[in-house]
Amino acid sequence: MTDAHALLFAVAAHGLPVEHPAPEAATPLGAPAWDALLTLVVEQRVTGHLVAAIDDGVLAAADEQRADAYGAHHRGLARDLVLERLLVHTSTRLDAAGVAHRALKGAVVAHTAYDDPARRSYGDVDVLVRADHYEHAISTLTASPDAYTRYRDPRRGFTRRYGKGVCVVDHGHEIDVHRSFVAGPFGIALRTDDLFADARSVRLGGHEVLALGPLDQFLHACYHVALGGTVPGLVAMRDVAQMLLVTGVDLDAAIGRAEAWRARAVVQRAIVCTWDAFALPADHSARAWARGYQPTRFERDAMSAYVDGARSYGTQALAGVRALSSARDRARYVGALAFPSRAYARERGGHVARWQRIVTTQRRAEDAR
Amino acid sequence: MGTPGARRLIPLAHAGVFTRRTSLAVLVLPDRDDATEPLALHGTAIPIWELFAAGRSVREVGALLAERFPNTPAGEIEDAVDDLAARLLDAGALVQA
Repeated sequence: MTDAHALLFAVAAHGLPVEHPAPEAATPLGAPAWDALLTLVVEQRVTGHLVAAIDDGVLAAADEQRADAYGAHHRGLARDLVLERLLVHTSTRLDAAGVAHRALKGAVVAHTAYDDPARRSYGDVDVLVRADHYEHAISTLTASPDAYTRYRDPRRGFTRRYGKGVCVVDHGHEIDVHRSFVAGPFGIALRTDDLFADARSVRLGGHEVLALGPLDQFLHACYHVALGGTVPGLVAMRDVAQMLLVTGVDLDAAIGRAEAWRARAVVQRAIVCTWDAFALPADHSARAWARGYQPTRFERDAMSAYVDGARSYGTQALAGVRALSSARDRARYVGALAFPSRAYARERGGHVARWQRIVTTQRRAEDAR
Repeated sequence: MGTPGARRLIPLAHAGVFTRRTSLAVLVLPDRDDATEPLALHGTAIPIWELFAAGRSVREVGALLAERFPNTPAGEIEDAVDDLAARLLDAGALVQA
């Protein structure tokens, strides 16, 4: 880890109620080190923590550096506000169409998990829709001639039953419409109806938007950290730390919920990654639970589709079979992946190329184990 | 909204806007599609914006600010408030209360 990366993590941890080593910058950084830090901070969207660290006297900065930090922060906030408005307009359209939905991540986490929403920036708009409303949601959001979905279903109804969701592009704006938190086995095992049993209303720009309840919001952050990429996202880890150490999410209840979704290993990995990233206290109860938990066989097998070197959509899709309990579901699932619609196959180079990719992906996954 | 003088007596309030506050600025994005980026309010524009939150006229906001800045002529303060209010009304960030 470079000095700039170490400072980045220290900056991102600012505001957590823990004894944390202050950034090693009691005097202003030199220009190269400052430029490297600011570049990383902007890339990782943690400018809110940077300006707070400077204003709280934790990170020394020259006047010009402080001005640079605020310039970057204000540009980030300008983007946040445009996305927040897009979220509200999206939610309003879904409400008008009678689509049950919840706002995810981004703006609602900024407003509910942090005292000051300016501390938490984001880069997209995400909504979760109830599975039986999924297709209606997509047709509602793509009703204008300028709107389209980025990916096609392999077979009609596939995403509604088994998929994560789709990206809708409308006038150049991207809206991630989710059925589940992730693709693959953990996304299939998640009981998505549970996510609509609880909600909280968040006021954004004079509108009320429904978001996930605190428990599900925490679990979603865990899925994002644990399964969102080979390298966990810094903002998502900061959310997990914030919810555990500041907003005080009920961890026991969250673990119980995760058990029903066969996803305690997801919470475990999220806690381990977060604790390691921010060097949080090893004696905390969350860390103690994560250290002691033994994942089930399903969880171990499922996790390998997300965190191994062979991670890909194809690997996750194939691994999804493990999460299906009925033979009918398994047959329908495999059938849709093996024999997708012609339009879907054409988008991906035809059936032969698709089969080659599936076989290659499977071999890579097996080799990686 | 009538003559400029009459406008100063009409109570104004924040429209449905999206905002963020930092220690240097308040960013305000009106809830309409033609507003492609937020207005950035700095300096004395910040207390003016905040005083309109409660639904006040330009004259009332000017009078409250004049108490805070006794060395500045009240007329100049009210003119500055009126100028900002006109721009915020035009942008859709303020509406009649």
